[in-house]
Amino acid sequence: MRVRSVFLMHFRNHGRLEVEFRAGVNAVVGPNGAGKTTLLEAIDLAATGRSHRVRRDVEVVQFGADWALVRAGFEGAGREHRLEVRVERSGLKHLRADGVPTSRTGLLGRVVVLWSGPQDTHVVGGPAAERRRLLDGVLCQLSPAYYDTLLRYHRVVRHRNRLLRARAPASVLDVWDEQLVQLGCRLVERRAELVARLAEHVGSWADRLGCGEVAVAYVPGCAGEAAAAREQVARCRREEYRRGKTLVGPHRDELRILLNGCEAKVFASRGQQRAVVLALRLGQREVVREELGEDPVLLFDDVVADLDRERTRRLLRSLEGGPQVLATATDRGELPCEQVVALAGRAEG
Amino acid sequence: MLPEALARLVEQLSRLPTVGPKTAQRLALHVLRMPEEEVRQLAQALVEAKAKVRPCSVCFHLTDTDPCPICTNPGRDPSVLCVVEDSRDVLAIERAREFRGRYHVLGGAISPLDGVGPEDLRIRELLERLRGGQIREVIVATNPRVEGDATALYLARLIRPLGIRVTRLAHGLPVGGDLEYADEVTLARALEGRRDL
Repeated sequence: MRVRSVFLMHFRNHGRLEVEFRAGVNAVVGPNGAGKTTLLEAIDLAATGRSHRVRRDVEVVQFGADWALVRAGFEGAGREHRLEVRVERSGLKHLRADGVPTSRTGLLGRVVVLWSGPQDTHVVGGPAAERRRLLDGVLCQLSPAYYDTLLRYHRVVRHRNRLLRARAPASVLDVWDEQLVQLGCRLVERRAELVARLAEHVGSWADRLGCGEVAVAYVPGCAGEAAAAREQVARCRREEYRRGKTLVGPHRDELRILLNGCEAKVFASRGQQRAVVLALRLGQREVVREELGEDPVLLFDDVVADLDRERTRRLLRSLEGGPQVLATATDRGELPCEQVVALAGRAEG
Repeated sequence: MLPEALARLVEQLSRLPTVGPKTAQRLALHVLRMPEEEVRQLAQALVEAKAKVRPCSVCFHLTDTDPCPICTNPGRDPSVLCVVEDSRDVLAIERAREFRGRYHVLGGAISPLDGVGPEDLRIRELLERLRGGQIREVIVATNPRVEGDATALYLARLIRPLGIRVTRLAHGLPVGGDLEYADEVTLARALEGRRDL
């Protein structure tokens, strides 16, 4: 899978930008504020229908413009995908795939991109939600049905929390329990499967990057089997009323990350955290390859920032001659790249 | 600046669902170009529809006679009842011309986030109808969203103890297309709801 071309209009600081990419490592270089991360963000948005960088889509619309546009040409599964996202100042977002309007569910599953950036240290050091997002990010792209289940599940949890806070009678709560269990078990099953496969690859990638012994373990927020999960829900009922929220289910999942046998969350340094996340992302790439028979596109935003010389050297060597990677950096440095995309100090207006 | 009477019309039209300010303006200007007689008919139709159309006292489908033509039609099977969220759903099922039973319109679905509980729906009236003893099967045709599913389950738990069969519409594939063209989510749900042959 690869990105061939990207066209941006009124996208943050890019008034108009057209870029072509090649296979292998593409370095996106330029001084601070040139819009390097923005270029990667646009590709992420076109591929997944959502940006990792913003809470509200409107933020990508250039100051003074009415809309922002990204059009990206991908190659995957032996065919071309023309993906387009247009964000209006009003907040409306229009997705198109091959010229046909679509929804996020309809967009997912065509191409897979894996993003890694400065925020990634939160995956190791931050709250469990960050680690669940790491899992969901790849599962949603692999399966629109997973995304649909996830959306429905979260809606059920929100309905249920409202009922718990209002101290609704058990008869009303019961019907939501059943959906919580049905949808929740399906999520747990898929996540458990992903983590099991990820575990095989993370270790060897950690080894290649020289970041010690890394292991991952999935700690589900409920049993993966409906009857057992139902029992857990029933047991927690009283405590749930007391705290006014749903306490059983995959929205409480944890992904434990161990570095040399200790909780990475507690013991890993910033640089180590970064290296561990890279091992996880590269492990995800292997899983996607096994699943689709093709590599996802890696979007690496300034990933070497916290790494020491030795780890940087190992990372770059492992990417050389491999599948497509778009990597930003302030200068080309030692990136073993096929192509350099240089962005000027101030993006063209 | 729009003349005041026109501005008021635009204002009123833009309160309608799916009509934005631009569409409202276009509609208003169109009304001005219409022959006066037609405008009068339109206005009259609005007022009359509001005055004459009421929910049927039996099934709560919209009607201008009470009970509605479906409830009074002797050709329809009184032993099968189809429960829907909305009058629009009755129209959709009627278009299929396959269902020969009668309806019950709930007036929505259970949705705690919107403050809609079972007591806000016409569930008491439904149970009342079921106690009549004539009904043998209830088909729950609420929408296949989490709210519709919760409502269906809630109804099933109330109705089953009465010894009445409760069924749910299947989630399926659109007919007339190849499997290849069905979207993944529809396919996944159709797989979930697969049946033995």
